[in-house]
Amino acid sequence: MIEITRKKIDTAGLLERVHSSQSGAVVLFLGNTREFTGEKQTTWLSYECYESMAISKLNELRDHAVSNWNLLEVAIVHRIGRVDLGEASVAIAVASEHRAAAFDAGRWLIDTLKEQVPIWKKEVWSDGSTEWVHPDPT
Amino acid sequence: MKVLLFAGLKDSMERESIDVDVLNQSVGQIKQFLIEQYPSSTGLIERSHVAVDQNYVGNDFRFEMEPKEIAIILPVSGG
Repeated sequence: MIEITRKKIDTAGLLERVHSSQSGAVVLFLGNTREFTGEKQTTWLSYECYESMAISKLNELRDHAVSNWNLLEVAIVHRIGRVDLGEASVAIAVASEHRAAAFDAGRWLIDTLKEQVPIWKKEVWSDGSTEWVHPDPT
Repeated sequence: MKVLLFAGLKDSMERESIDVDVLNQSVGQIKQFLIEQYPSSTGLIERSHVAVDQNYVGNDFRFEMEPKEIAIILPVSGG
């Protein structure tokens, strides 16, 4: 299941979706809005995406992870619009027979999402200024 | 055809898309054209990738036919 949504992510529902009697391991990753980046204070984040490509890239990542780690289920949900402090902007749930595959695939999925999927965040700082985040390649 | 813009580039160029004649042009030439039209966005355009029909392509990619979608993709920051 791949989804871009403006609503709060239902993490319990996501776990329910990937879980089955086969899955000995389920890993859930949540990326949350953090209040402080060094000295700077975030009020909220605003996300924008190129939706058709974001969906197609997320499907590609899901398919690659399922075949590479022999996963049972993967669900990825990303929020767009305003995401308040402490709320999740992204949730990735991975189910596999054993834990190593679920941890490794979950890590790869979030790392690759952050490199490739056309979604952007805008910081809304506590002084009212805003700033798009366009990281330099590392 | 319409080239889609997002995030920092959409704000910097103050528009969501721009019409560009792409036939027989390379991605590098299209970026150069955008830089000439919007010199204040030069840094952002230089750092961007280009996606053609939802796949990333390099600066050497040449348009022999019109695709369905072209987008300028600044470094992404989802998650």
